[in-house]
Amino acid sequence: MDRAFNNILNECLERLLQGENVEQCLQRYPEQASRLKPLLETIQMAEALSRLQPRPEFKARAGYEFRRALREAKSKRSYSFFGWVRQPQWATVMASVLVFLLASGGTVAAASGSMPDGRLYPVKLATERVQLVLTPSPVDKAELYAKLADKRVAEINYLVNENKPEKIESTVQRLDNDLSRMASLPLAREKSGEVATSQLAPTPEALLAPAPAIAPVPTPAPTRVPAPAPVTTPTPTDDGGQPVPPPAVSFGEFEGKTTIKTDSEKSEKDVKRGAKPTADAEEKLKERLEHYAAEHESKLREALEKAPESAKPALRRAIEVSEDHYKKTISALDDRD
Amino acid sequence: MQDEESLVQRAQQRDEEAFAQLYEAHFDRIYRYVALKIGDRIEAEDMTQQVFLKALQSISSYKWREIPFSAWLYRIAHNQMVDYFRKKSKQATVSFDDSLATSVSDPPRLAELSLEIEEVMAAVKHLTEAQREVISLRFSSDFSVAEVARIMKKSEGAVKALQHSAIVALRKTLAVT
Repeated sequence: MDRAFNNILNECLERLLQGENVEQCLQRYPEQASRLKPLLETIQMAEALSRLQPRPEFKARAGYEFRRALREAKSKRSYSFFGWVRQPQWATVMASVLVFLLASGGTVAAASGSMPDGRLYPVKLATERVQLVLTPSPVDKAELYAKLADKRVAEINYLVNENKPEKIESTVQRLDNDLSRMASLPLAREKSGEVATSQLAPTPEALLAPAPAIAPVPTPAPTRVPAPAPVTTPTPTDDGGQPVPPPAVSFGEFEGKTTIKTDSEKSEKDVKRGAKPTADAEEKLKERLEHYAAEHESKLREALEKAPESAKPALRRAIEVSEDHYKKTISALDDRD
Repeated sequence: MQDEESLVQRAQQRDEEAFAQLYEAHFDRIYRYVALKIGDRIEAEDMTQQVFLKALQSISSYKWREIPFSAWLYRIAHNQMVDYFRKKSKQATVSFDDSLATSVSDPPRLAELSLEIEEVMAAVKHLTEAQREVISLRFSSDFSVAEVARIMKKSEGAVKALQHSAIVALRKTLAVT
Protein backbone atom coordinates (compact mmCIF):
# COMPACT_ATOMS: atom_id res chain seq x y z
CA MET A 1 0.00 0.00 0.00
CA ASP A 2 1.89 3.06 -1.18
CA ARG A 3 2.11 6.28 0.75
CA ALA A 4 0.84 8.44 -2.11
CA PHE A 5 -2.35 6.44 -2.45
CA ASN A 6 -2.85 6.46 1.31
CA ASN A 7 -2.65 10.26 1.24
CA ILE A 8 -5.16 10.48 -1.61
CA LEU A 9 -7.51 8.07 0.13
CA ASN A 10 -7.25 10.07 3.33
CA GLU A 11 -7.99 13.33 1.55
CA CYS A 12 -11.03 11.79 -0.15
CA LEU A 13 -12.22 10.36 3.14
CA GLU A 14 -12.09 13.80 4.74
CA ARG A 15 -13.96 15.33 1.82
CA LEU A 16 -16.66 12.67 2.07
CA LEU A 17 -17.01 13.31 5.80
CA GLN A 18 -17.43 16.99 5.01
CA GLY A 19 -20.27 16.33 2.59
CA GLU A 20 -18.74 15.77 -0.83
CA ASN A 21 -19.96 12.77 -2.82
CA VAL A 22 -17.95 9.93 -4.34
CA GLU A 23 -18.14 11.32 -7.89
CA GLN A 24 -16.66 14.66 -6.86
CA CYS A 25 -13.73 12.88 -5.23
CA LEU A 26 -13.12 10.64 -8.23
CA GLN A 27 -13.04 13.66 -10.54
CA ARG A 28 -10.09 15.01 -8.57
CA TYR A 29 -8.11 11.81 -9.08
CA PRO A 30 -9.32 10.18 -12.31
CA GLU A 31 -6.20 8.01 -12.66
CA GLN A 32 -6.95 6.40 -9.29
CA ALA A 33 -10.72 6.19 -9.82
CA SER A 34 -10.97 2.44 -10.30
CA ARG A 35 -9.00 1.78 -7.11
CA LEU A 36 -10.67 4.56 -5.13
CA LYS A 37 -14.32 3.98 -6.02
CA PRO A 38 -15.01 0.81 -3.99
CA LEU A 39 -13.13 2.17 -1.01
CA LEU A 40 -15.00 5.48 -1.09
CA GLU A 41 -18.32 3.63 -1.27
CA THR A 42 -17.28 1.67 1.81
CA ILE A 43 -16.40 4.93 3.55
CA GLN A 44 -19.89 6.22 2.76
CA MET A 45 -21.39 3.22 4.53
CA ALA A 46 -19.09 3.58 7.54
CA GLU A 47 -19.93 7.27 7.73
CA ALA A 48 -23.33 6.27 9.19
CA LEU A 49 -21.49 5.53 12.44
CA SER A 50 -21.06 9.25 13.02
CA ARG A 51 -24.82 9.51 13.57
CA LEU A 52 -24.76 7.20 16.56
CA GLN A 53 -25.82 9.03 19.73
CA PRO A 54 -26.51 8.06 23.32
CA ARG A 55 -30.15 7.87 24.44
CA PRO A 56 -31.45 11.31 25.51
CA GLU A 57 -32.76 9.99 28.83
CA PHE A 58 -29.40 8.43 29.63
CA LYS A 59 -27.59 11.62 28.72
CA ALA A 60 -29.88 13.69 30.94
CA ARG A 61 -29.38 11.35 33.88
CA ALA A 62 -25.65 11.11 33.29
CA GLY A 63 -25.36 14.89 33.12
CA TYR A 64 -27.18 15.24 36.42
CA GLU A 65 -24.97 12.66 38.09
CA PHE A 66 -21.84 14.23 36.67
CA ARG A 67 -22.72 17.66 38.04
CA ARG A 68 -23.35 16.06 41.40
CA ALA A 69 -19.94 14.40 41.25
CA LEU A 70 -18.42 17.76 40.34
CA ARG A 71 -19.88 19.36 43.43
CA GLU A 72 -18.76 16.51 45.65
CA ALA A 73 -15.26 16.71 44.24
CA LYS A 74 -15.22 20.42 44.92
CA SER A 75 -16.35 20.04 48.53
CA LYS A 76 -13.78 17.32 49.28
CA ARG A 77 -11.00 19.80 48.64
CA SER A 78 -12.23 21.97 51.52
CA TYR A 79 -10.34 21.83 54.79
CA SER A 80 -11.48 19.87 57.80
CA PHE A 81 -13.85 21.33 60.36
CA PHE A 82 -11.22 22.12 62.87
CA GLY A 83 -8.14 22.88 61.14
CA TRP A 84 -7.05 24.44 58.37
CA VAL A 85 -5.07 21.24 58.09
CA ARG A 86 -6.17 17.91 56.70
CA GLN A 87 -6.55 15.17 59.24
CA PRO A 88 -7.81 11.61 59.30
CA GLN A 89 -11.57 11.31 59.13
CA TRP A 90 -11.85 9.55 62.48
CA ALA A 91 -9.93 12.34 64.13
CA THR A 92 -12.33 14.88 62.68
CA VAL A 93 -15.30 12.94 64.00
CA MET A 94 -13.77 12.58 67.48
CA ALA A 95 -12.80 16.23 67.53
CA SER A 96 -16.36 17.13 66.59
CA VAL A 97 -17.69 15.02 69.47
CA LEU A 98 -15.27 16.58 71.95
CA VAL A 99 -16.14 20.12 70.94
CA PHE A 100 -19.78 19.22 71.14
CA LEU A 101 -19.31 18.00 74.68
CA LEU A 102 -16.93 20.66 75.91
CA ALA A 103 -18.34 23.87 74.55
CA SER A 104 -21.38 25.79 75.61
CA GLY A 105 -23.59 28.33 73.95
CA GLY A 106 -26.49 28.57 71.59
CA THR A 107 -24.93 28.28 68.17
CA VAL A 108 -26.09 24.73 67.59
CA ALA A 109 -29.60 25.62 68.70
CA ALA A 110 -29.51 28.60 66.36
CA ALA A 111 -28.26 26.44 63.50
CA SER A 112 -30.90 23.75 63.93
CA GLY A 113 -33.42 25.72 61.90
CA SER A 114 -30.94 26.80 59.26
CA MET A 115 -31.69 26.18 55.60
CA PRO A 116 -29.26 25.23 52.79
CA ASP A 117 -28.87 28.87 51.82
CA GLY A 118 -28.10 29.88 55.41
CA ARG A 119 -24.73 30.70 56.91
CA LEU A 120 -25.12 28.25 59.79
CA TYR A 121 -26.29 25.36 57.60
CA PRO A 122 -22.86 23.64 57.76
CA VAL A 123 -23.08 23.77 61.55
CA LYS A 124 -26.49 22.10 61.36
CA LEU A 125 -25.06 19.31 59.21
CA ALA A 126 -22.04 18.89 61.49
CA THR A 127 -24.32 18.63 64.52
CA GLU A 128 -26.35 15.94 62.79
CA ARG A 129 -23.20 13.93 62.15
CA VAL A 130 -22.27 14.14 65.82
CA GLN A 131 -25.76 12.98 66.77
CA LEU A 132 -25.33 9.95 64.54
CA VAL A 133 -21.98 9.09 66.11
CA LEU A 134 -23.55 9.18 69.55
CA THR A 135 -26.43 6.92 68.49
CA PRO A 136 -25.00 3.41 68.25
CA SER A 137 -28.23 1.37 68.30
CA PRO A 138 -29.40 0.51 64.78
CA VAL A 139 -33.02 1.00 65.79
CA ASP A 140 -32.37 4.43 67.28
CA LYS A 141 -30.16 5.33 64.38
CA ALA A 142 -32.89 4.38 61.92
CA GLU A 143 -35.27 6.76 63.61
CA LEU A 144 -32.64 9.48 63.63
CA TYR A 145 -32.00 9.04 59.91
CA ALA A 146 -35.74 9.32 59.29
CA LYS A 147 -35.81 12.55 61.31
CA LEU A 148 -32.89 13.87 59.30
CA ALA A 149 -34.70 12.90 56.11
CA ASP A 150 -37.67 14.85 57.40
CA LYS A 151 -35.42 17.90 57.72
CA ARG A 152 -34.12 17.37 54.18
CA VAL A 153 -37.67 17.23 52.82
CA ALA A 154 -38.50 20.46 54.66
CA GLU A 155 -35.37 22.05 53.19
CA ILE A 156 -36.33 20.93 49.69
CA ASN A 157 -39.78 22.45 50.09
CA TYR A 158 -38.21 25.64 51.36
CA LEU A 159 -35.89 25.84 48.34
CA VAL A 160 -38.79 25.29 45.95
CA ASN A 161 -40.90 27.96 47.68
CA GLU A 162 -37.96 30.38 47.70
CA ASN A 163 -37.24 29.59 44.05
CA LYS A 164 -33.68 28.42 44.69
CA PRO A 165 -33.44 25.34 42.50
CA GLU A 166 -29.65 25.39 42.35
CA LYS A 167 -29.38 23.96 45.86
CA ILE A 168 -32.08 21.32 45.44
CA GLU A 169 -29.79 18.72 43.85
CA SER A 170 -27.31 18.75 46.72
CA THR A 171 -30.12 18.57 49.26
CA VAL A 172 -31.65 15.62 47.43
CA GLN A 173 -28.25 13.94 47.52
CA ARG A 174 -28.11 14.38 51.29
CA LEU A 175 -31.60 12.90 51.52
CA ASP A 176 -30.47 9.95 49.43
CA ASN A 177 -27.38 9.49 51.61
CA ASP A 178 -29.33 9.55 54.88
CA LEU A 179 -32.04 7.18 53.69
CA SER A 180 -29.52 4.89 52.06
CA ARG A 181 -27.63 4.60 55.34
CA MET A 182 -30.89 3.97 57.16
CA ALA A 183 -31.76 1.19 54.71
CA SER A 184 -28.32 -0.36 55.18
CA LEU A 185 -28.58 -0.59 58.97
CA PRO A 186 -28.39 -4.14 60.32
CA LEU A 187 -31.98 -4.14 61.52
CA ALA A 188 -32.60 -7.66 60.36
CA ARG A 189 -29.73 -9.11 62.35
CA GLU A 190 -30.74 -7.90 65.79
CA LYS A 191 -33.23 -10.48 66.98
CA SER A 192 -35.50 -10.20 70.02
CA GLY A 193 -33.92 -11.59 73.12
CA GLU A 194 -30.42 -10.53 72.22
CA VAL A 195 -28.80 -7.67 74.03
CA ALA A 196 -29.09 -4.51 71.96
CA THR A 197 -26.06 -2.40 71.35
CA SER A 198 -27.88 0.56 72.90
CA GLN A 199 -27.59 -1.24 76.22
CA LEU A 200 -23.83 -1.31 75.86
CA ALA A 201 -23.29 2.30 74.89
CA PRO A 202 -24.21 5.15 77.17
CA THR A 203 -26.87 7.65 76.17
CA PRO A 204 -25.78 11.21 75.45
CA GLU A 205 -27.10 12.36 78.84
CA ALA A 206 -25.28 9.57 80.65
CA LEU A 207 -22.02 10.64 79.05
CA LEU A 208 -22.30 14.04 80.65
CA ALA A 209 -23.97 13.33 83.98
CA PRO A 210 -23.42 14.77 86.50
CA ALA A 211 -22.86 18.21 85.02
CA PRO A 212 -20.44 19.85 84.44
CA ALA A 213 -18.12 16.86 84.54
CA ILE A 214 -17.49 15.33 81.16
CA ALA A 215 -17.36 11.57 80.81
CA PRO A 216 -14.83 10.12 78.45
CA VAL A 217 -16.17 9.45 75.01
CA PRO A 218 -16.13 5.74 74.26
CA THR A 219 -13.31 5.35 71.81
CA PRO A 220 -14.77 2.49 69.79
CA ALA A 221 -17.81 4.59 69.01
CA PRO A 222 -16.79 5.58 65.50
CA THR A 223 -15.99 2.01 64.53
CA ARG A 224 -19.37 0.83 65.72
CA VAL A 225 -21.01 2.88 63.07
CA PRO A 226 -22.33 0.31 60.67
CA ALA A 227 -21.60 0.25 56.96
CA PRO A 228 -22.12 1.27 54.23
CA ALA A 229 -20.56 4.68 54.57
CA PRO A 230 -18.44 6.20 57.28
CA VAL A 231 -19.90 9.25 58.95
CA THR A 232 -18.31 12.32 57.51
CA THR A 233 -18.24 15.69 59.02
CA PRO A 234 -19.15 18.26 56.42
CA THR A 235 -16.92 21.25 56.30
CA PRO A 236 -18.73 24.33 57.39
CA THR A 237 -18.00 27.33 55.23
CA ASP A 238 -19.86 30.55 54.91
CA ASP A 239 -21.26 32.02 51.74
CA GLY A 240 -17.85 33.40 50.82
CA GLY A 241 -16.26 29.99 51.13
CA GLN A 242 -14.43 30.80 54.34
CA PRO A 243 -14.42 28.16 57.09
CA VAL A 244 -16.86 28.88 59.88
CA PRO A 245 -15.11 28.73 63.26
CA PRO A 246 -16.05 25.91 65.61
CA PRO A 247 -19.39 26.62 67.18
CA ALA A 248 -20.01 27.24 70.79
CA VAL A 249 -22.19 24.27 71.44
CA SER A 250 -24.68 23.66 74.14
CA PHE A 251 -25.28 20.03 74.83
CA GLY A 252 -28.85 18.97 74.80
CA GLU A 253 -29.56 19.90 71.23
CA PHE A 254 -31.11 16.45 71.01
CA GLU A 255 -34.85 16.89 70.93
CA GLY A 256 -34.58 20.66 71.22
CA LYS A 257 -33.58 20.80 74.88
CA THR A 258 -30.94 23.29 75.96
CA THR A 259 -29.90 22.10 79.43
CA ILE A 260 -27.90 19.17 80.68
CA LYS A 261 -29.86 16.94 82.98
CA THR A 262 -28.35 15.56 86.17
CA ASP A 263 -29.20 12.10 87.38
CA SER A 264 -31.84 13.43 89.73
CA GLU A 265 -33.46 15.38 86.96
CA LYS A 266 -33.64 12.46 84.57
CA SER A 267 -37.08 11.16 83.95
CA GLU A 268 -38.02 7.55 84.06
CA LYS A 269 -38.17 7.72 80.32
CA ASP A 270 -34.52 8.83 80.14
CA VAL A 271 -33.41 5.94 82.33
CA LYS A 272 -35.31 3.48 80.21
CA ARG A 273 -33.69 4.83 77.08
CA GLY A 274 -30.63 2.71 77.70
CA ALA A 275 -32.77 -0.44 77.97
CA LYS A 276 -32.89 -3.16 75.37
CA PRO A 277 -35.21 -2.29 72.51
CA THR A 278 -38.30 -4.44 72.65
CA ALA A 279 -40.50 -5.76 69.93
CA ASP A 280 -42.82 -2.94 70.93
CA ALA A 281 -40.11 -0.35 70.22
CA GLU A 282 -39.46 -1.93 66.82
CA GLU A 283 -43.16 -1.91 66.01
CA LYS A 284 -43.32 1.76 66.95
CA LEU A 285 -40.30 2.47 64.76
CA LYS A 286 -41.97 0.70 61.87
CA GLU A 287 -45.12 2.77 62.36
CA ARG A 288 -43.10 5.98 62.46
CA LEU A 289 -41.18 5.02 59.35
CA GLU A 290 -44.40 4.24 57.52
CA HIS A 291 -45.73 7.61 58.60
CA TYR A 292 -42.54 9.39 57.46
CA ALA A 293 -42.56 7.51 54.16
CA ALA A 294 -46.10 8.59 53.36
CA GLU A 295 -45.55 12.15 54.54
CA HIS A 296 -42.29 12.61 52.65
CA GLU A 297 -43.76 11.26 49.44
CA SER A 298 -46.71 13.62 49.76
CA LYS A 299 -44.52 16.66 50.46
CA LEU A 300 -42.08 15.85 47.70
CA ARG A 301 -44.87 15.40 45.16
CA GLU A 302 -46.28 18.71 46.24
CA ALA A 303 -42.86 20.30 45.72
CA LEU A 304 -42.58 18.61 42.31
CA GLU A 305 -45.76 20.32 41.14
CA LYS A 306 -44.49 23.76 42.15
CA ALA A 307 -40.85 23.34 41.13
CA PRO A 308 -39.31 24.83 37.97
CA GLU A 309 -38.46 22.41 35.16
CA SER A 310 -34.76 22.47 35.98
CA ALA A 311 -35.44 21.09 39.46
CA LYS A 312 -37.92 18.40 38.48
CA PRO A 313 -35.40 15.59 37.73
CA ALA A 314 -33.90 16.01 41.19
CA LEU A 315 -37.32 15.96 42.84
CA ARG A 316 -38.38 12.88 40.94
CA ARG A 317 -35.21 11.22 42.12
CA ALA A 318 -35.97 12.30 45.68
CA ILE A 319 -39.37 10.61 45.50
CA GLU A 320 -37.83 7.48 44.04
CA VAL A 321 -35.04 7.13 46.62
CA SER A 322 -37.41 7.91 49.46
CA GLU A 323 -39.81 5.16 48.39
CA ASP A 324 -37.04 2.63 47.82
CA HIS A 325 -35.13 3.17 51.05
CA TYR A 326 -38.18 3.32 53.31
CA LYS A 327 -39.51 0.16 51.72
CA LYS A 328 -36.22 -1.62 52.29
CA THR A 329 -35.95 -0.49 55.90
CA ILE A 330 -39.52 -1.41 56.77
CA SER A 331 -39.02 -4.75 55.11
CA ALA A 332 -35.94 -5.37 57.27
CA LEU A 333 -38.02 -4.64 60.36
CA ASP A 334 -40.65 -7.09 59.13
CA ASP A 335 -37.95 -9.75 58.87
CA ARG A 336 -37.25 -9.40 62.56
CA ASP A 337 -40.75 -10.47 63.50
CA MET B 1 -17.28 26.86 23.36
CA GLN B 2 -14.65 28.99 25.00
CA ASP B 3 -11.05 28.38 24.24
CA GLU B 4 -10.52 24.82 25.37
CA GLU B 5 -7.25 25.52 27.10
CA SER B 6 -8.81 28.10 29.38
CA LEU B 7 -11.74 25.78 30.05
CA VAL B 8 -9.37 23.00 31.03
CA GLN B 9 -7.42 25.31 33.33
CA ARG B 10 -10.62 26.43 34.99
CA ALA B 11 -11.79 22.84 35.28
CA GLN B 12 -8.54 22.01 37.03
CA GLN B 13 -9.47 24.70 39.55
CA ARG B 14 -12.73 22.81 40.10
CA ASP B 15 -14.80 25.31 38.11
CA GLU B 16 -17.99 23.35 37.77
CA GLU B 17 -19.26 25.20 34.73
CA ALA B 18 -15.99 24.82 32.83
CA PHE B 19 -15.90 21.06 33.39
CA ALA B 20 -19.56 20.81 32.47
CA GLN B 21 -18.82 22.51 29.14
CA LEU B 22 -15.98 20.09 28.46
CA TYR B 23 -18.33 17.24 29.32
CA GLU B 24 -20.97 18.47 26.87
CA ALA B 25 -18.43 19.02 24.13
CA HIS B 26 -16.88 15.57 24.28
CA PHE B 27 -19.57 13.26 25.62
CA ASP B 28 -21.15 12.13 22.35
CA ARG B 29 -17.78 11.51 20.69
CA ILE B 30 -16.51 9.43 23.55
CA TYR B 31 -19.78 7.51 23.58
CA ARG B 32 -19.55 6.70 19.87
CA TYR B 33 -15.96 5.62 20.23
CA VAL B 34 -16.72 3.34 23.15
CA ALA B 35 -19.92 1.97 21.59
CA LEU B 36 -18.12 1.10 18.41
CA LYS B 37 -15.32 -0.60 20.24
CA ILE B 38 -17.39 -2.75 22.55
CA GLY B 39 -20.57 -3.21 20.50
CA ASP B 40 -22.92 -2.83 23.47
CA ARG B 41 -25.03 0.31 23.92
CA ILE B 42 -25.81 -0.08 27.62
CA GLU B 43 -22.23 -0.88 28.55
CA ALA B 44 -21.08 1.99 26.36
CA GLU B 45 -23.29 4.47 28.19
CA ASP B 46 -22.03 3.50 31.63
CA MET B 47 -18.46 3.28 30.43
CA THR B 48 -18.67 6.74 28.88
CA GLN B 49 -19.81 8.13 32.19
CA GLN B 50 -16.94 6.34 33.93
CA VAL B 51 -14.50 7.96 31.52
CA PHE B 52 -15.64 11.41 32.58
CA LEU B 53 -15.70 10.54 36.27
CA LYS B 54 -12.16 9.24 35.93
CA ALA B 55 -11.22 12.43 34.11
CA LEU B 56 -12.68 14.42 36.97
CA GLN B 57 -10.50 12.52 39.44
CA SER B 58 -7.36 12.88 37.37
CA ILE B 59 -7.70 16.28 35.78
CA SER B 60 -5.21 17.90 38.12
CA SER B 61 -2.52 15.66 36.63
CA TYR B 62 -3.31 16.64 33.02
CA LYS B 63 -0.86 19.01 31.34
CA TRP B 64 -2.14 20.93 28.33
CA ARG B 65 1.23 21.09 26.58
CA GLU B 66 1.68 17.35 26.36
CA ILE B 67 -1.44 16.20 24.51
CA PRO B 68 -4.76 17.79 23.61
CA PHE B 69 -7.54 17.36 26.14
CA SER B 70 -9.59 15.23 23.76
CA ALA B 71 -6.69 12.87 23.25
CA TRP B 72 -6.27 12.59 27.00
CA LEU B 73 -9.95 11.66 27.32
CA TYR B 74 -9.55 9.02 24.66
CA ARG B 75 -6.60 7.52 26.45
CA ILE B 76 -8.76 7.21 29.55
CA ALA B 77 -11.51 5.61 27.44
CA HIS B 78 -9.03 3.26 25.85
CA ASN B 79 -7.69 2.18 29.23
CA GLN B 80 -11.22 1.61 30.49
CA MET B 81 -11.87 -0.65 27.56
CA VAL B 82 -8.70 -2.59 28.10
CA ASP B 83 -10.01 -3.35 31.59
CA TYR B 84 -13.44 -4.08 30.18
CA PHE B 85 -12.21 -6.65 27.72
CA ARG B 86 -10.13 -8.24 30.41
CA LYS B 87 -13.09 -8.72 32.67
CA LYS B 88 -15.64 -9.25 29.93
CA SER B 89 -18.45 -11.62 30.72
CA LYS B 90 -21.24 -12.76 28.43
CA GLN B 91 -24.09 -10.30 28.33
CA ALA B 92 -26.96 -9.80 25.93
CA THR B 93 -26.03 -7.19 23.40
CA VAL B 94 -28.70 -4.57 22.88
CA SER B 95 -29.26 -3.41 19.37
CA PHE B 96 -28.35 0.10 18.45
CA ASP B 97 -31.86 1.01 17.31
CA ASP B 98 -32.65 2.95 20.47
CA SER B 99 -29.49 4.98 20.09
CA LEU B 100 -30.72 6.52 16.87
CA ALA B 101 -33.90 8.05 18.25
CA THR B 102 -32.80 11.66 18.13
CA SER B 103 -30.47 11.62 15.19
CA VAL B 104 -33.10 10.64 12.58
CA SER B 105 -36.73 11.60 12.73
CA ASP B 106 -38.01 9.78 9.63
CA PRO B 107 -38.96 6.22 10.67
CA PRO B 108 -38.21 4.50 7.35
CA ARG B 109 -34.87 6.28 7.16
CA LEU B 110 -34.30 5.36 10.80
CA ALA B 111 -34.85 1.70 10.03
CA GLU B 112 -32.55 1.91 7.05
CA LEU B 113 -29.88 3.70 9.03
CA SER B 114 -30.20 1.18 11.81
CA LEU B 115 -29.56 -1.65 9.38
CA GLU B 116 -26.59 0.16 7.89
CA ILE B 117 -25.08 0.73 11.30
CA GLU B 118 -25.71 -2.85 12.37
CA GLU B 119 -24.06 -4.06 9.22
CA VAL B 120 -21.04 -1.83 9.64
CA MET B 121 -20.80 -2.69 13.34
CA ALA B 122 -20.70 -6.37 12.50
CA ALA B 123 -18.01 -5.74 9.90
CA VAL B 124 -15.92 -3.63 12.26
CA LYS B 125 -15.71 -6.57 14.65
CA HIS B 126 -13.65 -8.43 12.07
CA LEU B 127 -10.94 -5.79 11.97
CA THR B 128 -7.74 -5.99 13.91
CA GLU B 129 -7.52 -4.04 17.14
CA ALA B 130 -5.50 -1.25 15.57
CA GLN B 131 -7.76 -1.03 12.50
CA ARG B 132 -10.82 -0.87 14.76
CA GLU B 133 -9.21 1.88 16.77
CA VAL B 134 -8.56 3.99 13.67
CA ILE B 135 -12.09 3.49 12.33
CA SER B 136 -13.60 4.31 15.72
CA LEU B 137 -11.61 7.49 16.06
CA ARG B 138 -11.99 8.64 12.47
CA PHE B 139 -15.63 7.81 11.87
CA SER B 140 -17.32 8.00 15.24
CA SER B 141 -15.40 10.90 16.66
CA ASP B 142 -14.30 12.96 13.63
CA PHE B 143 -10.69 13.14 14.66
CA SER B 144 -8.14 14.19 12.08
CA VAL B 145 -5.27 11.89 11.16
CA ALA B 146 -2.93 14.06 13.20
CA GLU B 147 -5.15 13.74 16.27
CA VAL B 148 -5.54 10.00 15.81
CA ALA B 149 -1.78 9.69 15.47
CA ARG B 150 -1.28 11.50 18.79
CA ILE B 151 -3.88 9.36 20.53
CA MET B 152 -2.52 6.11 19.15
CA LYS B 153 1.11 7.22 19.51
CA LYS B 154 1.81 6.40 15.88
CA SER B 155 3.04 8.41 12.94
CA GLU B 156 0.52 9.96 10.60
CA GLY B 157 1.78 7.70 7.83
CA ALA B 158 1.14 4.65 9.96
CA VAL B 159 -2.39 5.84 10.74
CA LYS B 160 -3.14 6.41 7.04
CA ALA B 161 -1.85 2.94 6.23
CA LEU B 162 -4.00 1.41 8.96
CA GLN B 163 -6.94 3.41 7.71
CA HIS B 164 -6.43 2.08 4.21
CA SER B 165 -6.14 -1.54 5.36
CA ALA B 166 -9.21 -1.13 7.59
CA ILE B 167 -11.32 0.18 4.71
CA VAL B 168 -10.15 -2.63 2.45
CA ALA B 169 -11.06 -5.16 5.15
CA LEU B 170 -14.45 -3.54 5.70
CA ARG B 171 -15.14 -3.62 1.98
CA LYS B 172 -14.45 -7.33 1.85
CA THR B 173 -16.78 -7.99 4.75
CA LEU B 174 -19.52 -5.66 3.53
CA ALA B 175 -19.14 -6.93 -0.05
CA VAL B 176 -19.65 -3.52 -1.60
CA THR B 177 -19.73 -3.80 -5.40
